[in-house]
Amino acid sequence: MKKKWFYGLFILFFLVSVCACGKTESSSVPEDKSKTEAFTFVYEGKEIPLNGVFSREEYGEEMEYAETPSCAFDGLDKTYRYEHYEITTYPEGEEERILSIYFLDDQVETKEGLRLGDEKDKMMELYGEDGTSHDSFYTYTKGDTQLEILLQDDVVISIEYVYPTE
Amino acid sequence: MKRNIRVIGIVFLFVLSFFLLQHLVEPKYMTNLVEGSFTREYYQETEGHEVIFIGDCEVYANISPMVLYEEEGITSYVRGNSQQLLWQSYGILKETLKYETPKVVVFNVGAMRYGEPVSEAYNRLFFDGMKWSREKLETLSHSMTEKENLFYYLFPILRYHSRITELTKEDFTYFFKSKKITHNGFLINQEVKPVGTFPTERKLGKDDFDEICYKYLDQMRILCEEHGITFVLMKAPSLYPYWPDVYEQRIQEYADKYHLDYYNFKEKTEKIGIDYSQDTYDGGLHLNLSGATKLSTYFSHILKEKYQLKDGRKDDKIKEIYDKKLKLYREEIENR
Amino acid sequence: MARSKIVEWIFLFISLFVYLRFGLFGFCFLSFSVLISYFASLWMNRKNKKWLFIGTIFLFVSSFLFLKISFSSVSSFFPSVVAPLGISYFTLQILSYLADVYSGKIKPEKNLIRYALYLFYFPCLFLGPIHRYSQFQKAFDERHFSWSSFLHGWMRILLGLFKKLIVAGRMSIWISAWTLHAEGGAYALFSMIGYSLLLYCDFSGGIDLVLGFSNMLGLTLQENFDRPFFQTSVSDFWNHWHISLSRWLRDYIYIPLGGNRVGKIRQKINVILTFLVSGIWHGTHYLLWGLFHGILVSFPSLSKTPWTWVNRLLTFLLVSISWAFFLYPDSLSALQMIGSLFTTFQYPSFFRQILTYGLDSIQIGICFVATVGLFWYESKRTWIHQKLKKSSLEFQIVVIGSLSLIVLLFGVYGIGFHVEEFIYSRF
Repeated sequence: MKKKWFYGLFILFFLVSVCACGKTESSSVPEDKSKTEAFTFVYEGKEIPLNGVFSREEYGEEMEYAETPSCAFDGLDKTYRYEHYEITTYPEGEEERILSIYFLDDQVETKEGLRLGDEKDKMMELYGEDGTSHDSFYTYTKGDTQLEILLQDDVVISIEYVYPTE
Repeated sequence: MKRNIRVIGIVFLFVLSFFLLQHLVEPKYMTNLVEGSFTREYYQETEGHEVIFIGDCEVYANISPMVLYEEEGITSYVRGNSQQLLWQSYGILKETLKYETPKVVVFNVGAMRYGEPVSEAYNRLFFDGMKWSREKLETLSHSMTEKENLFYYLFPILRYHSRITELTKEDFTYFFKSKKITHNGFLINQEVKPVGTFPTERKLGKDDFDEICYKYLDQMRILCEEHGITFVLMKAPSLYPYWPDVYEQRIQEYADKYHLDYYNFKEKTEKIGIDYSQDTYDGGLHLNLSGATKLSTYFSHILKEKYQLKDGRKDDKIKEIYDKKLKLYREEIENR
Repeated sequence: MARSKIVEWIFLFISLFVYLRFGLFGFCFLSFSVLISYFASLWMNRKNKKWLFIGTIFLFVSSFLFLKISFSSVSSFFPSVVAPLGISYFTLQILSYLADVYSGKIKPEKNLIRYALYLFYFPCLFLGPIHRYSQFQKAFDERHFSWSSFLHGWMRILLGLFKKLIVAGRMSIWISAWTLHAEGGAYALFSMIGYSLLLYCDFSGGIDLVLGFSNMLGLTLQENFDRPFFQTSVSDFWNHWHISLSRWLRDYIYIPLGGNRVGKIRQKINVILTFLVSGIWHGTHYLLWGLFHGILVSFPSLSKTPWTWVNRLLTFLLVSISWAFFLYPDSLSALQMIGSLFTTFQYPSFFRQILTYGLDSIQIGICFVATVGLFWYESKRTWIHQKLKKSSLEFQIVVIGSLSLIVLLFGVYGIGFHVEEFIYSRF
């Protein structure tokens, strides 16, 4: 009889403690979260997501267009140059997906507010020290996407959003 | 006793079917992705070359040994692969020197840009046809991307098993035999696509190549020195990917430091007579047959003059072999 | 005797090494747990055993919850270390051991090596099955290596790989495409049914690997699945699915709550409570899932018809629908998807686009043939095993060789697909 009592207590404790902590647990699975998180470029209020499907109807007519085949393999990387940035796409089946977005001048900024010509301090403030750096080349990773920033004399001279495919 | 023999027989049959199936699913690189057969093709002709070219697509698409022979009687072979990286160049040079000792080794410096393995797919094109040797193991250990491991190369079935449902006629036609793809390592491409625009040139975060590239360049140079071979550097006249001035400077410095000859054909396009509206098959990345013929003609004179190479046309034995090769070469050009 | 001791040491040494490879923190934590439970069980003979029992249970349950919650939440308390692998499996075994010692079912083990081996036995690291101490020691003492057990183990491993790589591998491609669409009852229904098969092939396939590997070493461990999809009621399903967990819940939750010895209403409440605990065990998110099964098991007439085959189908469908709580990210979307089964349909569009979900017709064909083959095997399992046992060595080698080639060629594995990711080990 007493045994039962203890078991009851144990189960009650089990249930109550789990329910009490339930909230934190259900908001869990960090790996899923990182997958939905990504660096996104926004131009004139319109999001241009990396690895999103590219179409001229969606992003407008480019000023210049270039295609670069790879050695040996089929399929072209296509580059669409707009006034302030350049979009490169890679083929996936019938579709073209956005591989990179490269800033051409300081008229555009990242969603977080970084432009060409900004100081290193600003970059550190916005993106922190977490990026991996190689000389003055910083790579920040968010989910499957990367933001590559190049500095020269502590000034940002190149910004590129990249979706690494391999 | 009888039973043991039966068991051994059955096990043997399974091992045999394992290898046959493995071979069936391996890509044959005969009509599709022919670049994968370059490494293997060399084994059919591992001697008799005075010049060996080493490098990426900038050699196999741009240098035609047949033209070098036609013009100056030079015997040569191009050991090029798509995206051949520096450690692979070193590996393939080391392997080549096991078979033969040429007088000159010409290395195309384009791959100095890349300091780390780029892609699994290009690794496969390079390694699938390579014979197992110490060189292969060493080169593999430097080349494998994160997701690869040695087992995928030891047992290609682990890599290619999914092809079992995608087999084509090629896999059966070329199960036991193979056909010749290149002409001493040169791949003919006669299409024409004039130069267009290229993506904006990216700014470089560095003003020098990665150390690892220098390491292997040094090793190639030293290896040639040890074998008494003249080590020559070249840069093919590709317009893209960009070859920034700072890279040019570094190579020049390297060549000066070690007294090497370095030919940057991009700066000689007018002299060579390259017309980028006619002589490229993909808008300025690689030369087509017409461009490659011009470049090879130009280079053949330099090679002949500077490195005292033998005129194979005057040697009956060589002439006989190369006449046959030339016939095939011309036939293929005409038939396309 | 001496030889047996050496074997124990070798097993333990390998197991510790495997655990160590998955992180020093987890290793130290689990080793510490082993020591605490070991000494607690020894001291339980004395007068203070009641409080000692409560204390240790409290300690293990709370540390388990603390670790599970802190590691799964985004703001982890230990950002630099990973949650000890196999902690769920570990905790359940410790709890059952302590409860058995406390209730006097077993005597506390004095040999620390044997006790540590019970908890650390590495093949069970990812998926279980969850052993009782007495069961495991019996299996270990009766282990007997022979070539026939070695071949049998090998076949079992191949069967696991067949389920995991050929069926589950393809199913998972399909299901991720279907859940992405998530529009209309057809997508929901096929996702749920597919997930049912996927989970079964993945989990029981994993267990086949564990049991097969143990067989190769001469150990016969407890079965964890026994043709769950052939059962005619949900309660039977639970007697044949993840058997070791079901029995654990029965012995340490349901029976202490009163089991069958109480009134009918109390009994039903106990069943529901037990399933709620099972739901929570998998994560608080699965509470509704537990409730769903609790109700189905305590009111069997809800899903009972006079026809066996209809009952089988109904059980399979009900179980499949309940997996919605595992398949979709939260309870609300799971409920919405279950609702969509009866409101929106979209079957024509689903079948029209069947070839656009990542598998072409050949892959679908392979998946179909493999699934049918698997269920055929399961339905004739006893007969096949008897035939195999009596068959010649040559025939057994032919079976092993052919299965190996089939798995090698038709399995979904390799670059871009990781074999070691067993779905169930997340829970």
